[in-house]
Amino acid sequence: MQSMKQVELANQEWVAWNNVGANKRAECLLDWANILLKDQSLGSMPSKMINYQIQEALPLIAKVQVMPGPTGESNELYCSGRGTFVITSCESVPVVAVAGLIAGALIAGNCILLCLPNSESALAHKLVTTLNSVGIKGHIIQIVDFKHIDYLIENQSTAGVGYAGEEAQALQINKQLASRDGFIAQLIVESDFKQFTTLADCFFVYRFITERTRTINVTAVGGNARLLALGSGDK
Amino acid sequence: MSLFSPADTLQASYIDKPLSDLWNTISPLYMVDEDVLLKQLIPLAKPSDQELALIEKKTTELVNCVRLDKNAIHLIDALLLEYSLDTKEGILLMCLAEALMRIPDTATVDALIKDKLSAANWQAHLKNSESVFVNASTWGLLLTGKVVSLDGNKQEKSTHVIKRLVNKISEPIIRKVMSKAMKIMGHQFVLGRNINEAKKNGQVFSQKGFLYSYDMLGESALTKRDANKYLQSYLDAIETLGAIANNKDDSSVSIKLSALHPRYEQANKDRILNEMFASVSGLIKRARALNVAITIDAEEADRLELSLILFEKLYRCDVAKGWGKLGLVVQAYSKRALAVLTWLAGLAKEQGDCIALRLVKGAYWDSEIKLSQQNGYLNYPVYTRKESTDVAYLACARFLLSAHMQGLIYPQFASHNAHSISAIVAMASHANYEFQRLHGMGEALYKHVVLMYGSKVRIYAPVGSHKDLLPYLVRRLLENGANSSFVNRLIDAKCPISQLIKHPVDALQSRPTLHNGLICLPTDIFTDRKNACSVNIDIESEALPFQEKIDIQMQKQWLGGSLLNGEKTLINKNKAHDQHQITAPYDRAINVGEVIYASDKDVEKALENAFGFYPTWSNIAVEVRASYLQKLADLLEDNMPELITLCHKEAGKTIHDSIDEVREAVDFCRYYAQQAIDNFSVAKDLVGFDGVTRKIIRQGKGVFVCISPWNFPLAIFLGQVSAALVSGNTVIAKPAESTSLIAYRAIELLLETGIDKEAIQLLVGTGAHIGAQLTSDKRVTGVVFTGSTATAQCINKTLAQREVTPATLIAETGGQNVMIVDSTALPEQVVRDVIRSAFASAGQRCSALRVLFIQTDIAERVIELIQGAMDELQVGLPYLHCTDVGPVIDKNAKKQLLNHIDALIKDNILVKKLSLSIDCDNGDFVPPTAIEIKNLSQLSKENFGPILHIIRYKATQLTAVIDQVNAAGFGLTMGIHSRNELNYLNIEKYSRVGNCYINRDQVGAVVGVQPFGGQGLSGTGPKAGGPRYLLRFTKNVMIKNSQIV
Repeated sequence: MQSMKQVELANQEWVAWNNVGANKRAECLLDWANILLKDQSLGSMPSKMINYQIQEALPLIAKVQVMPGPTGESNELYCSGRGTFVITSCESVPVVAVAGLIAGALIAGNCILLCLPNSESALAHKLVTTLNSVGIKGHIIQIVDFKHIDYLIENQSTAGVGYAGEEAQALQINKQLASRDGFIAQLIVESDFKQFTTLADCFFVYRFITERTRTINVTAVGGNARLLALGSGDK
Repeated sequence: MSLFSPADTLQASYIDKPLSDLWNTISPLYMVDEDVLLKQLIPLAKPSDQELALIEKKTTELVNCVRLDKNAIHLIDALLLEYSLDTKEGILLMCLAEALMRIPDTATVDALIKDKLSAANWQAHLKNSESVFVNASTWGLLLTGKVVSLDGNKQEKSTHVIKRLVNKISEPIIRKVMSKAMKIMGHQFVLGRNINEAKKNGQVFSQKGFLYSYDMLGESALTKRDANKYLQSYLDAIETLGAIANNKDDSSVSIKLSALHPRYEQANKDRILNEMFASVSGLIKRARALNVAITIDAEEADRLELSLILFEKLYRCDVAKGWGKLGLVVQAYSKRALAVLTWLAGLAKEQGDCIALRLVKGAYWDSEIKLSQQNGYLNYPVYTRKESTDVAYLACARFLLSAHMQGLIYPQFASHNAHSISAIVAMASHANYEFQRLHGMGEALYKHVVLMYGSKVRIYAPVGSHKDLLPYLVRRLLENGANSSFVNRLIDAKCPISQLIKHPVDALQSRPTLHNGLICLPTDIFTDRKNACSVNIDIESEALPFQEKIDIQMQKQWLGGSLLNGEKTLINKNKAHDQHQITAPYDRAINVGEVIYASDKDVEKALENAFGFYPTWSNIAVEVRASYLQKLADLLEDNMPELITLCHKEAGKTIHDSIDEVREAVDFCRYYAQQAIDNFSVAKDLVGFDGVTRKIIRQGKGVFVCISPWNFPLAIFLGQVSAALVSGNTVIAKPAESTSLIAYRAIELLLETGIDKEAIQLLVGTGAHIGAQLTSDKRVTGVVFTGSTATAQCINKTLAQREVTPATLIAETGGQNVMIVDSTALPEQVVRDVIRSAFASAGQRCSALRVLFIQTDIAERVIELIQGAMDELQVGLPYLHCTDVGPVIDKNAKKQLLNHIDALIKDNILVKKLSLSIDCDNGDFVPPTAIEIKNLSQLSKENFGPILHIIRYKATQLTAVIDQVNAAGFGLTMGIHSRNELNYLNIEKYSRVGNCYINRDQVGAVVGVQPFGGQGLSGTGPKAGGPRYLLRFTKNVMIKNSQIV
């Protein structure tokens, strides 16, 4: 089954894409925003939304955060993508909503299975083609036929669903996701096509990431460099 | 502190006080204010004008002599000068030396060499040093000699050589050359592989009049077998030395107590005073018969009191009485040092036998500082400036050299500092003392000391196989780089002599403060909040008052139930209600108290209350909400004894686990309070994607249900509740039914803070009843859950059935946590961390180690150590200091875990299953068990108890191991033990886990330091105790004209 294969390919691609780093991904996405800006049929809002997502996301996720703590060990907190997200929508969805979901998922380091209603297939094609043109290609983002949407939502190996559309449909997707076995999948919904409440949240990107900590005991293999360096100096 | 006056110690009558009085001055100094103590020590250390002039003159002469001595810079001194331990190359060189010789497989050796060679600027050190030894140890030059000559290209630039060598690193010749270089280093650090060889190698210095103290080095024993091995090596050394004309050379043997018993800890005091006493008194008996003096080494600060109690018992026993050759080491960096000396002097006076006393500065400084910070002690047991230690050293020396000490204490001053040596010579009015130096260090210095003063000098010389001892010594150097500081400056001609002759008293007094301003107190290590405080139960002055408070609490019984709008529901009103007796997991005959479960009506009432109050609560200022958490944190600390007792009695937690539990709860309260203030108190202008600027503030989402587990009945319970509350949500808290009493008490304390009682509703009862009713209710906006993966899925399904906006679900669930160990790791360190990670808290931590992946090449040794170390675990009553492993939570958990063990050992290898003592008969105990299995797929689920699974893997299978771990779907914690940086970073990078711990244990995440939470089947995130956690409890709201719109 084609969609099954697509999920597999996306998950395989994910490790490399996730390791590219947020800054590099941001460069690609900003290029993408520029390309979309030149497409008059889309208007400027999708491009603005992408720029906004990158601008808000980078300070939040790009850097490894050094945590305070006792001397003799290093503690770091950093963000990682969750895996492969399904991005879907209702019919006649504003492009800006889909672009925001895509930008959020990609900047965080996720792969995308873009599964829009058939009426939006041209839009899907346009978005993916332009993404490919800025280097986001391979299986990082793939179009999946809308007839497979239930399969994608219910597939245990997708990290979650980003949905732009009516709340009623969001509830349905939520039920489908909850009925899955395995890990608890994320559902990210934008149903407010006036204010774009979800997408406009400056912490929106956090919905697409998972956090990791790395603790290294530096007294074990390298002495306690920080204390040694302190010596008897004063502030 | 009031008991102890340093100035008085110089009066001869001071030590005539009853010995118990002298003893009682020691412990209270453990964490005494550094400035106060130093002020009193300075007069003892301060030289008279005459002394000062003499010290400066003699130090100058010494330094000049050493610098003019062409043979001064060599061996270890030179190595430390070239590879100073504050350079990356120095550290890497030592890392390589530490690990290389123990690695059995060549592939791992090659990888480690490549890792270390690639990481630093080795070429910068080429030919810097004139020492043959240093050049031989400089990998680039060493290898240039070999490889370049093979290529016939001697003119090649060193940078090219290094790069080319790294590329060729898999060649066997490189490996051999590296090993050879390590052996050369080993020869320099170690006097001999055995005592006979050491005696022979020591003859050069013996003939010059130097004495020796032999140290049979090794790791601290983890097993009885290793302890016996070390005991035998000490005995052999004594026999050998004694056989040489009844030790005509007056050599001595230094013994390290931690090598002679696998549990040399205050917690095992009784065992130490019996088992260790028997071992050491046996050594003393032979040593006395053969005229070989024995010195007991000093170790970590927490072991000091125990070592003194043992010393007294040994000193007073018949085999030692009347001998006068049993000695002890005292560390001057310890705040208790001078008091210890007075007690020892009192002891010697009482019995009449002289005590040989080696005064050292102290070698565990870094780890003492770290431990105190981790544990949140009020202060440090050691000084925070090098000069302070030097001052204390001289103050102690003044006492030891005072006239009334003669015949009681024979001082042995261990130092490589020319100034300290001159100061001691200037202070001494007699010659009845000696100096000591380390083998391989300070040779030139002491050559001239002997020439100038004719002093008696003893060399402290490590003995043992190079393979075992080099890593040991290197670790000591790595951990205590300060050892090299004076040595470096002494031989560094660029360092002006005026710096070297500065008296430490003057140096210290020239500082703005006596304590080191760059090292904050343990309670202040976090800039934004106070570190949770703790009690050190290894220290008498701390432990005794603590125990008295616990003893009172242990007599109590508790009664708990739901709290709705602050009202206790049904308590004592209707005995016929749903009332449940709580018994202690360690003894089901002990009644801890009773709880009354909530009814359906109570649940409905809680929902009504919480829903109704949300609008009010969410509009209360963040600072006000946060203040309740701050007050709660203080109340938790004030009520620590009661909460610890509840942890013992209701959850079966050991003392350390219980203290940690309360501390974590305190940390959560303070951390979330501060996070909320930092992030939510001020509305922020946000320019939206549409270019419009909006004023935004974060607000709570509504009613949060907090469902917490029994394994962290206070910390996780309050962590969830405090996060939800401070973010502006009203809370319905549903603790695990088996630990309801402590939850009830915690909410009582929360209500004491003055918090609006409508904001928090406590419901006590079963998850099946209360949980289901809550999670299906439309008024619930979010659920925070910690527990099993299956229950989290069930909650998720229930929430999704509601025809309302999907709820926020934050779930922290189980794990199949692994530790991956390669052959560069230090087995003893691995086993310590494995034992703690797998068996602490009876394995009932989400983070606990379940599966140890161990590289085949070192598996036998590691498994043997695990077996031996498990034998030393004490399973039993959790409120006893000596208990390592307490009970599991209930009968059902016990049954499931025992079934798992039974099923698994049928077809797999049982590594170890402990027997349970009669103490465990009435409780729900599961014997700590280790089973070797073939692969991870044999484990279908998490086994939440003291069961360790072990899987061997080949070095070439590492990627497959990571794939296996990822395929299991869990992703909570992982431990890695490796000296290969590239290796451990790669494992970490490709493993899908939330918390990765490298070269340490994998439990005990600290709030705000190691935010905790996993991915996949292990949870949804965000991480608890992390900077993103509170955001998930809030939503953006827009402000217009100061109103929310």
